[in-house]
Amino acid sequence: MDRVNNLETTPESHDATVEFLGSNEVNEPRATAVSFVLEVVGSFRVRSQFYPVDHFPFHIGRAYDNDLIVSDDTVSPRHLVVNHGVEGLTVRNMSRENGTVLNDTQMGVETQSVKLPAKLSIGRTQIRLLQTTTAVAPTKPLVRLSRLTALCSRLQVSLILLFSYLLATIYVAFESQSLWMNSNEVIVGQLLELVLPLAVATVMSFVSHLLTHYWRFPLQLSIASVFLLLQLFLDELYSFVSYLTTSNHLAEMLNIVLSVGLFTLILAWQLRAISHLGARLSNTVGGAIVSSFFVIFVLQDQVGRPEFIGQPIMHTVLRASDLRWEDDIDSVMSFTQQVQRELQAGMNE
Amino acid sequence: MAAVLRILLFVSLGFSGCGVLADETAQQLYETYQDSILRIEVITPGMEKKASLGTGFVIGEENLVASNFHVVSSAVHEPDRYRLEWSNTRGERGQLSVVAVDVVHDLALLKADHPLASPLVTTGLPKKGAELYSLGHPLALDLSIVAGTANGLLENSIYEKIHFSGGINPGMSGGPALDQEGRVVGVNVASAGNSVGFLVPAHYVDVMLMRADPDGESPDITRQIGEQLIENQDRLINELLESEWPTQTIGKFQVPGEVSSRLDCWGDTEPETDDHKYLEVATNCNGRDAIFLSDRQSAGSISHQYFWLATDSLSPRSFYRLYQQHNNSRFIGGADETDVGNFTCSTRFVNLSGQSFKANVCARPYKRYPELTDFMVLMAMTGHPKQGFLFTLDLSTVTLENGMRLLERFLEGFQWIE
Repeated sequence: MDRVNNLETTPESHDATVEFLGSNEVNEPRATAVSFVLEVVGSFRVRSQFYPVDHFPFHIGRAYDNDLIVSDDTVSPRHLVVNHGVEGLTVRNMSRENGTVLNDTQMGVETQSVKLPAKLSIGRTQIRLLQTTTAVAPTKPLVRLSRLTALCSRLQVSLILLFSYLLATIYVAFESQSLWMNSNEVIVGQLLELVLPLAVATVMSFVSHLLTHYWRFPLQLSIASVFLLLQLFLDELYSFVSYLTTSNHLAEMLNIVLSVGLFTLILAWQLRAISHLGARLSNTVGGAIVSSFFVIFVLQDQVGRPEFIGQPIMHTVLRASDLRWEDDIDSVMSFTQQVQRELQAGMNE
Repeated sequence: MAAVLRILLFVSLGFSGCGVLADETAQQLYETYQDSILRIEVITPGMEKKASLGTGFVIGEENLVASNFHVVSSAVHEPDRYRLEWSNTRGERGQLSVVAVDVVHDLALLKADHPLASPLVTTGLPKKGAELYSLGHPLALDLSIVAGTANGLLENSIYEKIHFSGGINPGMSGGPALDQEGRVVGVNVASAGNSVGFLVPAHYVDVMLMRADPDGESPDITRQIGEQLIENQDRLINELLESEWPTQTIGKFQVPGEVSSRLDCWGDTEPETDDHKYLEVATNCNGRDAIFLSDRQSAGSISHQYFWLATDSLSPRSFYRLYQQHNNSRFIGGADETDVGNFTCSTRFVNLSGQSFKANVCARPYKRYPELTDFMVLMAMTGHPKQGFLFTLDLSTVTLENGMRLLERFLEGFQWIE
């Protein structure tokens, strides 16, 4: 396998000096020897591999004396021979088991001339024969981690964020206890919430590894913790704004806008973390996905909302700080007169 | 929170078996008056099956029948879906139409297209301990007679009812309760089970007869109901507003107490302990009975509640989390979109005796009866990090103006005690 020259074009491994495989300027000495390039086409998980073919006949099969040994149990020990003669490039199928498909046509056991580029299927393996002058895709710039992502990829930072979330969750849990409950009971009651960021980060790390070959667990832990922390913050903000403005509608609108923003932000961040998308594209994709969901929810809410609601929708938020825009009405009579007018107007509608 | 379940269960009368008293008086009464007592069936046209049934008795004229409004209410509200039929012990049948109602006292006057039997006569309130005989069709069985005892008018009831100690059952609603001379003293209306029954005093039947115009053309019963409900709530609210209100102290507030002897008031205190980290004082007052409007809706109910919450051990944030959980109210009743519109709410802050209150006042209009509303108030004191005070007021079937008048009187009675 020492002849294998891995020329895949993923950004991490790309050799920036090689612009065109077999171009006369860059690889002139090899260009005279190499007649064509054989690509074993990669899959989602396996990158394509390229073999410059410089001698004939070139044997392909599962047996160890082939020029290209293909470890695919649907490939015959001696499956295919590529040759070069006066009639040009030829291929000969030798497999009687699964045979060979040349450019979507099943071959018999015969020699057939081919023109480049050509596509061959031997068993499950896909092969392409390419001219050495075939242009490779332009070099992609390395996707650099943003400063925030780089920071959040550090284990210490992700642990600090996780710890902050855990503290906030436990604080909220203790704050909700008006009946006596010992600390163990409260914490055990919150176990699911406490484990949540770790579980999410683990799952997303697997996804990240599947898609990018990097685990990036600290980054995933940071993203999960930041998301959950921001949700706690949004809850608090909703209550604050609702009481401040004495308006369910205003607080709900703000909540929707902020929630859409938060989900877009986190989704875009996550897309960047598990793919090679740039900032602009990930924001666009994230925004499009979240907006679609939002539109569906709004539509469902509008269509599914019952015309009759048996209970009143009151504004029941109370806050110890008592920070609000609305002043007290000082006299009971003005209060009842104002309320009566409002109710009468509301019912007339 | 909010309103409390009514004790009285309309129609659902008792569970004891049909007891035909082996007593000479009972036998005589049954023999003499059985023809004047009818089974009233609510029939679904098309299917020609009964949807519900009750009892009625001939009164005033030979073709007039008195029964309960709740027996015939389906036919009143949905005349296209239901019609009324009578049948007697001889198996004769005929059609009935509604000519008048007294919805407040749950009475209806029905008219047959030909004479049925001799009308019964009414009499005044029976003395406590007087023997009474209630007749009707318990559980859709044959006409039965049940002996019992009169126990006077119910105390503290908003709407007058005779307490009848005797086993009356579903199906007997609208049947007469006779004295030993065979005069109607009341109309079977409700039961609380265990041989505790209730009768509408017979003089309300007389009043309904006097007001009715049986020979008039197609009376507008819905309009009659609306007018009676408005008149009733005017009377009730005016009575409340004109009376002296006692006060009670709850936490640091002095507030109106039992504003009417016709309300049933309860209270409880849960002190602050290590296990229960806040003090909770709760009182509530509820009207003892309500007016039957339909299977889904009752009218004339009234209830109010106070809650005082305070803590030493909880932080203000924890306390307000708890306080906010208490700050809600639900309207009791199953009225649907055919009965009422949606609630409209107003949320304002008002200063009462130097303290700020966040007030939610809500009302929803009745669709059949213009001007009438269901009225709800939920108020929470604000500005004290470790103390809270809640007030609720629920009224069904009042005009918005009367609801606001009653609320105003309540709020003027709030006094903060340092």
